[in-house]
Amino acid sequence: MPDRRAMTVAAFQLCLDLGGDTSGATGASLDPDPALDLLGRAKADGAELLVLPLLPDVGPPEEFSRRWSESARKIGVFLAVGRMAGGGVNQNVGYLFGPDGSLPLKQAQTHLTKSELEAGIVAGTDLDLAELPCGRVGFAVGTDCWYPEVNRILALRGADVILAPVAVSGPYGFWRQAAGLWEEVQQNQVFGIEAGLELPGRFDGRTAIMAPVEVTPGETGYLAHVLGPAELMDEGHATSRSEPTGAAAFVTARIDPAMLEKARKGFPIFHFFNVPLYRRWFPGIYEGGTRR
Amino acid sequence: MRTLVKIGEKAKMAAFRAQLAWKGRRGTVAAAIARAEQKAGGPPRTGLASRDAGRRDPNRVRVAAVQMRLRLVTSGAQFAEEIYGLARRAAEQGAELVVFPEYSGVPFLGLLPGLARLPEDTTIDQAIAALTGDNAGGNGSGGNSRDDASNNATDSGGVDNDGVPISAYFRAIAPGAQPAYEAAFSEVARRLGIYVVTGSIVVPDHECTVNKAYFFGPDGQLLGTQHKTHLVPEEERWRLTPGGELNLFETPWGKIAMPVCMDATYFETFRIATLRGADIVIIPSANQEKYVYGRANRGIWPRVQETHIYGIGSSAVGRFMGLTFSGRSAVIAPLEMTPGRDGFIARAASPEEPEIVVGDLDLEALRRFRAENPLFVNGELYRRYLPALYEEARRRRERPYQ
Repeated sequence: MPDRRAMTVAAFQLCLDLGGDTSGATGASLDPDPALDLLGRAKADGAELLVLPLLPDVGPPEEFSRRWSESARKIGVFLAVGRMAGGGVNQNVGYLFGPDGSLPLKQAQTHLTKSELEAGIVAGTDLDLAELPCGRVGFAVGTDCWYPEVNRILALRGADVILAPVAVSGPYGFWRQAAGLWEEVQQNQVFGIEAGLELPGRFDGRTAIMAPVEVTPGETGYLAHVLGPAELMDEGHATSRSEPTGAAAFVTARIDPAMLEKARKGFPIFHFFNVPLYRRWFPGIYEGGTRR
Repeated sequence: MRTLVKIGEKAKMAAFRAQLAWKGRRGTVAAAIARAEQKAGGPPRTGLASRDAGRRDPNRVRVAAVQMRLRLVTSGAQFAEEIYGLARRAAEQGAELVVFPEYSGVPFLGLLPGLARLPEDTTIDQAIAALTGDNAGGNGSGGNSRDDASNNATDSGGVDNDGVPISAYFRAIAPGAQPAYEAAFSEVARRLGIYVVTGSIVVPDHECTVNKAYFFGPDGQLLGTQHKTHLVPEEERWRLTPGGELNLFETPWGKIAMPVCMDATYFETFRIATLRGADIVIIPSANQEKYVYGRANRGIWPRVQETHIYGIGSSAVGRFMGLTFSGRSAVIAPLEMTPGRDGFIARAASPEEPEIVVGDLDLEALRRFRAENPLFVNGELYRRYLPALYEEARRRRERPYQ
């Protein structure tokens, strides 16, 4: 296993401004060039891994890939970004580009909401990982943040960091985030980096960097949050919906494999798996079960 | 001389067992509950025809989570009176299904001769050391702390100074504790005409020792039991054995499951229960840690959000044998079904004080919610990795811990 080390990561909240007309929200594209300045600032703050939201794009996917690959190479960082279905592609996809512009990981969203299904989006059927200096990383794209199977499989396969480019239909408040990536981070004892798209009237963002509660300020499970100090992100300050930032913003945090080691040693969740119980019911129960 | 010592020891054990059997008699327990009911003014008025099962509304049920302070008892009668009082308060508010916390049976440790006379804050390990005459006694703990490794730096490792596991002490009191526990809850359920999830008690199961929950129906009949399927480090040190199955129970309101405490940390528990048809999942808990939202919110609440069911969580609170228990008992539903869009139908005001938390479940509303918000199944993905990866992943993460 390669040596692992700490990395500073940055999670971005990007706001699309369509002049108040959100009807064609998914018909817009975000040009990475104006964003380069912001990405560069994160790099200047020491970030080596940048995570961007799930973005709309109507051009060919190859062009999307080329533009963001070039951005990663120019700035010299690992850059994760999501692309919404569109432009002839019927999947929401996460891309991870390397500092040399390579593409070590590409991941389609594997679970869909009713509206995504009705829109003709197709689910991916596999979950893959890439190796970074801080550990193995995988994607939970969009809706996947709210499915424990996704994040458990990633963790079982060795993921230490889950990248989550999202565009969450509002209202998106404290409790809904707690039910999503936050909880996946806790039950798998990994890091989670959620990057949200903000589109007034359509998408709300709660960009944050998460970790097992034991290693976070105030034991809130947050290392950084775009809406305020991490140590305040608890039920006492829960809001029913987020306040829009109205601009591009990012938060940074240092993620260290030693932090996960501490959390896992303090309580070894995986040690207490009841494998005979799971073997008895998985995967057959998904076919025969009465999911309603 | 050695023979005389052995005879003496055997005689003492025989006397102890006889005393346990006496203190755990069903008749004694039933009489205690009858006296408690009389003292309270007779059968409670619930406002519902709860004693008439035929008139239960299959689409609506009022439930209660008993947030309870654990206190040592020295007899089945004493235990029964306390349980009856708490259940009666829930029934008086119209609850038809009442849930007690994990380790509700641990107070029966008071049956160990002399233990109840020790200072209140004596830990389990210290108590055993004192009773067995050993000088060493660690700072041991029980319950479900997710920081066991750092909290138990001086603990006994789950055994006494003769290497006897702590589970042996639970087994020793079981001849009195177990029948008294069962009789108390059965009689409470029958008298009040309610369904009762008892929380749990540590008891033998053949050669094993398990953390066991019971479910009683309104005529006092035992509907089933559930062994905790995911242990915590302390329970492993005590030499408890995890259960191998997740059971479902039929009620007028559909199927329910009642896994125990740490079982709710694992999404697998709830997914199996709900795919097998459970609409309500009940979690008795005893979290041995100071209340912090981040720590407390890693169990039943997110599991309900993942699976679109109703959840009832009941917590032990307060100090017991040197341990601090905390938790906010709650009745939980999917976010969008709750008034504050926070997933809570009802919730305890405090994580430290006893309380009865009451909430109403609407099964029709739950079915409508599910129809409008269907969960997605990616069978191809699951078949690829589940359950094959669990063992390998466990080995990869295995780290020595104390």
